[in-house]
Amino acid sequence: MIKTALATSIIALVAMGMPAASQAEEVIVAAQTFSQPAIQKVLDDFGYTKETGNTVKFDSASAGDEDIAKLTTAFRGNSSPDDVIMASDEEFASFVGNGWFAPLDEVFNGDVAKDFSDQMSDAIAKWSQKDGHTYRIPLEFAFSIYWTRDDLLKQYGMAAPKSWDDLKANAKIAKDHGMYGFADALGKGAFGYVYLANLAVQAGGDPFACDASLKTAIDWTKQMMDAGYFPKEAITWTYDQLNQQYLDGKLLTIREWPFFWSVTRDNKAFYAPGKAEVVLPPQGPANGKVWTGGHGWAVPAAAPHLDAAKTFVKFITRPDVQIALAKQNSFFVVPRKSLLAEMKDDAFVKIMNEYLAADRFAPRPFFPQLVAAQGVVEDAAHAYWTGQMSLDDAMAFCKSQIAALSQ
Amino acid sequence: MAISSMTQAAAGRRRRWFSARARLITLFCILVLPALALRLFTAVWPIIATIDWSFRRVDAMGAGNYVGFANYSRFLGDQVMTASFSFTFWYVIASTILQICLGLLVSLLLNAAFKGRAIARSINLIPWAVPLIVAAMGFRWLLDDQYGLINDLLIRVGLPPVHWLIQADTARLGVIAANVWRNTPFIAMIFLAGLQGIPQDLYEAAQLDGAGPVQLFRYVTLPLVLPLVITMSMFFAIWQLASFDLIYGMTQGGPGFATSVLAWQIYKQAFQAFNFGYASAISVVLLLVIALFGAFGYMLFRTRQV
Repeated sequence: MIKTALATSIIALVAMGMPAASQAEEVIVAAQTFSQPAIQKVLDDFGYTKETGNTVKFDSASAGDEDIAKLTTAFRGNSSPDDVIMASDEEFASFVGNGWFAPLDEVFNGDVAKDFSDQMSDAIAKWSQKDGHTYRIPLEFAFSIYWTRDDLLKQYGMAAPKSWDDLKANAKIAKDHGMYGFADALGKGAFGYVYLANLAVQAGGDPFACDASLKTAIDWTKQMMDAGYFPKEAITWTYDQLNQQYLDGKLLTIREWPFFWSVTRDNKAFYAPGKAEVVLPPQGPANGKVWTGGHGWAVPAAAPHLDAAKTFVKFITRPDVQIALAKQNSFFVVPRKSLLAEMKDDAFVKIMNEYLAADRFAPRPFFPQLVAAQGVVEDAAHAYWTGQMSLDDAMAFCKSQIAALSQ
Repeated sequence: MAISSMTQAAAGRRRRWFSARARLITLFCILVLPALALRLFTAVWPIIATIDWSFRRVDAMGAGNYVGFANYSRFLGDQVMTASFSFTFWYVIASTILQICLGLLVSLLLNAAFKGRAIARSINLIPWAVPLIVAAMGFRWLLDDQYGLINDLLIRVGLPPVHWLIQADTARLGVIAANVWRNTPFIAMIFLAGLQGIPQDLYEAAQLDGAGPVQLFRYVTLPLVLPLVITMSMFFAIWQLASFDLIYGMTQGGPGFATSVLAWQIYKQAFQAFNFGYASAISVVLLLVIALFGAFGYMLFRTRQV
C-alpha cells in the first residue's frame, strides 16, 4: 500500500514536471514587416508549432539606426524585447563585440553550414562569426547589380560597359543625347557610402582605411560630375530618385540592389526587353567585384526564451525551409547550394549564378562602429564634391575621423 | 500659581503653534517633495551624470575609466565639431533675428484693421501647426534639384535652377529659411497679443503731437513690445540651440558637414559611434552655451529693466 502510494506520488510529480519542460513557448521574432507573411506561411506549411511545440509572435524591425538605439538600450540593461532578430550588418557590427548575441554554433553546423556557397565563406567569417563562433546565420544576400539601357546602347552604337573607362566613354556619347552615362544615389544615410565602397573595392582597397582606393573612387566620381557624365544632384538622391531618373530615360547605366528587378518588371508602362538589363560590374583599376551584405538570424544573449529562440533559428534555416522562404519572397534568396540548384530557372537566381560564376562578390568592409564610419566616408566625399575641402584634406579628414572612432 | 498658569498657557500656545507649523511643514513635504524628487531625478541627476560621463570613456558596455579632459580636447581638435559649433551659432543668431523681425512685421499687419483679419490670423498659424520633422521633409522636397517647387519657379521665370542642398552656402540658407518659416507665425501671435495690450490713447496722443507712422512705431510700439522682443529672442535662441529634427529630416548635416549642429553630432556620437563619453562632453559644451545665452538674456533684462 505504502509502495503504491509512493509510486503514485513519484509518477504524479514526474507528470507535473513534464508539462513544464515541454510547455509551449511564444518566440518573439523581430522581422521586417514585408517579410512576415512569407515567414508565417512557411512556418504553417512546415508545421513549426507541431514540430517544436512553440508559437511565433512577430515584432516589427527596421534596418535603420532606430533599431540599433532601441536594442542597445535594452541589451545594456541585460534584457531583450525579442527572442530572435533579423539582424542587419550594422546591428551585427554594433552588438557582437559586446557579447550581446548568443552563439549559434549548434545551429550553424552540418547541413546548414555545408549548404552555403563556398564563395560565402569570407562573408560569413567576417560578418557572422567572431572568435571562432557563429552569431548570425545569413537569411538575405544583398549585392549590387549594374543595370543598363541595352535598347539605347544599341541605338547609339555602344556596347555594355566592361570597365570604368567604358563607362566614361559611353557617358560622353550619352551626354550628347541629353542623358547621364552613369549614376547612383549618393545621399546621406549610407546611400553615398554604398556607392563609394563598391568603387573602393573595385579599386582594390578598403574604404575604412581611407586609402588610395577610396581616394580614387571619390576623385573618379568628381571627374565624372565635372564632365557632366554623372549628375551632381545625385549627392542628395535616395534610391527613389535614382530609380525615377532611370525610368524617365535620363540615365544610361546605374548600380542598384536586386529589388530593382521587380521595380522595372512590374512597371508595365516602362518595361520592355532591353530597357533594364543586367550586366557584370565594370572592372575598376583592381577588379570588377561588388560587395555583398544582408541580414541574418541572430539570437540576443538576453533573449527571454533562449532555447526556444535557437530552436526557431534551427528550424527556419533548414535548407528546405530556406528554399520555401525564397519562393515566397525573393528577399530570402541566398547563395545556398540547395537553393541555387532548386531555383536555377528563377530570373534573379540566374543573375546571382552569373555573378558567382564570374567571381564578382567581395565581402562588405567591416568596421565595429559601422554606421558612424560610413558617415565619415560620406562626409569626406561630400565635402570634396561640394568644394568644401580639397581631395587631400578630405582624405586626411577621413583618416583622422576613422582613427578617432577606433580609439 | 498665577505664574504657573501663565507658563502653562504659553506652553499651550507654543504647542498649538508648533503643531500648526508641523502640519504646514508636513503639508509642504507632501505637496512639494514628490515634484522636487521628480525634478531631481529627471533633470538634475541626468545633468550630473552627463558631466560625470564627459570626463570618462563610456561606450556601449558602460562607463569606464576617467580620462580627464580628453573628450574636451578632442572636441577642440575635431574639425567636424568646430564646424558644427560655428554653424549652430550662426543658425541660432540668423534664425532668431529673422524670426523676431518678421514676426514683428507680421504681427503689425495682423493688428491692422482689414476685412478677413480673423482668417488671416488663423492662416498665419498653419506653419506652426506643422510638425518640424514634416516641415523638414517638405523643405527637402521644395528645394530638390529635379522635383523641387523652388527650382520650378526659377525656371519658369527664366532663371537657372540652383543646387540648393548640394552647395554648402545655399544648404545653410535653406535650413535657416525652413526654421524661420516654421517659427515666425508663433512669434507673430505672441507679439500680436502684446500689441493689443498697448493703450490706444498713447497712439492718439502721439498723433496729436504730429507723429507719423514711423515715429509711432519707433516711440510708442517698439518700447512697449521690447520686453516681449527680448523674452522671445532669448527663449527662441536657447530653444534653437538644441535644434535637431530639422537638420535630421532635411540635410542630415550635409553636404559634408556644412549644416551640422551640435545636437546632431551628439546623436551621431551617442547612437552611431556609441561613444557616450564624447557625446556627453559635446552635451556639456552645449549646456554651457545655453547657460551663457541665458545669462546674457538675464543681464539684458536687468539693464533694460523690463
